Order: sequence, then structure tokens, then C-alpha cells
Amino acid sequence: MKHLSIAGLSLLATILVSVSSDAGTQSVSRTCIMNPDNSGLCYGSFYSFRNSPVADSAVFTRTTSGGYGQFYATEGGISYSCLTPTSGPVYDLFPVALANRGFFYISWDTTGTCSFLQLANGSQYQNVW
Amino acid sequence: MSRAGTAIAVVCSMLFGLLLYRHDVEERHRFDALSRRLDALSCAGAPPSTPRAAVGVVDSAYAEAIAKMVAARLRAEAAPAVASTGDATPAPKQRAETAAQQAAFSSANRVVDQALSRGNLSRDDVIEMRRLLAQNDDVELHRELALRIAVAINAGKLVPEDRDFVFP
Repeated sequence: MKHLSIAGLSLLATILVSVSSDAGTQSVSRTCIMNPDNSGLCYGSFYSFRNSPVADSAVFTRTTSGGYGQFYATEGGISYSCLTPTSGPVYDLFPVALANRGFFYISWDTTGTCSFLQLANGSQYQNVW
Repeated sequence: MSRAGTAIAVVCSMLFGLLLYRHDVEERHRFDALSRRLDALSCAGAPPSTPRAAVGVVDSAYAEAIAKMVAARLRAEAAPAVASTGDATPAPKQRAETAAQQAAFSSANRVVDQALSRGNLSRDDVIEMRRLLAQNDDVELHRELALRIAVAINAGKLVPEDRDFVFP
């Protein structure tokens, strides 16, 4: 009986310790990769680039009257960029990226054309710019 | 027993040889008939003045006639494909319609060339390209120029001086 009580208390303690909360956390993960053929990708959030320990970290999404979207990021002296096509899914979604306050993932091909765009939001991302 | 067997084998061989011969004759007749039909079809499709050449001998006039026929057939086959795109009069992509627009686009490309030779892109470069491209509203042309910049940036050959002025 005594052993059973100890086992029960241990189990309860384990449960209490393992139940953690992400409340108040803010994701700061960010990554940009340039492949040898100059295709590449960037992901993270505007918050994570803004709060990067690397001084020149920045990410930009732009649209112009030119009829296509522009992506530009820089970190550690390396620049990354792509342009959306003038139509299609990436072009259609790009205006949403301008107001994105969550997670983004963008990739581009060897021609500098943005080929994939994902936008997401979650409680771990900064909502205030 | 062996004599009877030998006799049967000889008879079978003769019968088999006869069958093969008949089959060969029938095939030859069939081939001749097919050749005649092909000749008739060729006559119907060939130009009137074109001499029919014997098999294996094609003179230049005949070759030219065949080439014209093939070209005409290819054109005829290509026509419905164009029509099926929904554009009855497919116009070639118009680029820089006027000489002034062409000159402006060339000038904008020269700005990129100069930036590439320096290895950096200034704010003034971008502003100048925007001014030049404003004379031409061809979105694809604008994007073509901007892609040159994007590819150069990704290759590490061009560094924008002002992050707010990267593309025209």
C-alpha cells in the first residue's frame, strides 16, 4: 500500500512537470538557404528577422504597379531575392504576404522566380509589428 | 522400320517445302497488290507535272515537290492547333512598340549592366530604371529586367546598397 502511494505520487509529479505551456513564447527561428544553382528558400517570421542577433537581418515583401511581387531578404552579408510570376498561385497569394504577421516560407528557382509561398499564423508568432 | 521412317520424313519435308513455296508466292502477290495501291495513291496526291520516280531514284524536282507537299500538310495540320487556342489571329508578342520605348528599355538594361560591372546597385540606379521603364507598360519586360537583378543578387554578383530600392 505504501509502495503504491509512492508510485502514484511519482506519476502525478511526472505529469505535472511534463505539462508545459507555450504561453508567452515567441518563435525566433529563421533560415535562408542558397543552393549552388542559386535556387533557394527562406522561412521564419518578420519578428524573427527583426529580432535576429545578426545585425543586417531583414526581410521584405513588396508589390508594385509593375505587376509582380518582390521578395528580398538579407542576413550575414548574403542577399536573397525572387520575383513572383505575373499570374498564378504565388502571385495571387503574395498580397497576403504583405500583411503577414506569422510564419512564412518562400522558395525560388534558378531563374529567380518565386516558386512556392506558404503563410501561416500561430500563437508563438509576434502579432505586433 | 527405319526405311518407313525415312520415307515419312522425306514426304513430310517435301510437303513442308511445298507449303513454304505457296506461302511465299501468296505473300509476293499480296505485296505486288499493295505496291499497286500505293502507286495509285501517290499518283492521286502528286503534282500533275511531277514525274514519278522509280523506287530508289529520286530526282531533285520530285524531292522538291515532296517537300512542298509535306510543308503544305504541316501548315494545314498546324492551323487548327492555333485556332484551338481561342486566338484567331495570334499576334507576335509585342515588345517596346516604338523606337523610343525600345531605346528606354535598352537604357534600363544598360543601368543593370553598369551595376553588375560595379557589383552594387544604388538607389539612383533603381530610380533611373523606374523612370525608363515608365515609358513602357509591358509587365513582362519590367519583370525580365528585374529578374536579371534577382539572379545576380542570388549569385552574389550584385549587392543592393539600399534595401528599400532593390528592384525597379
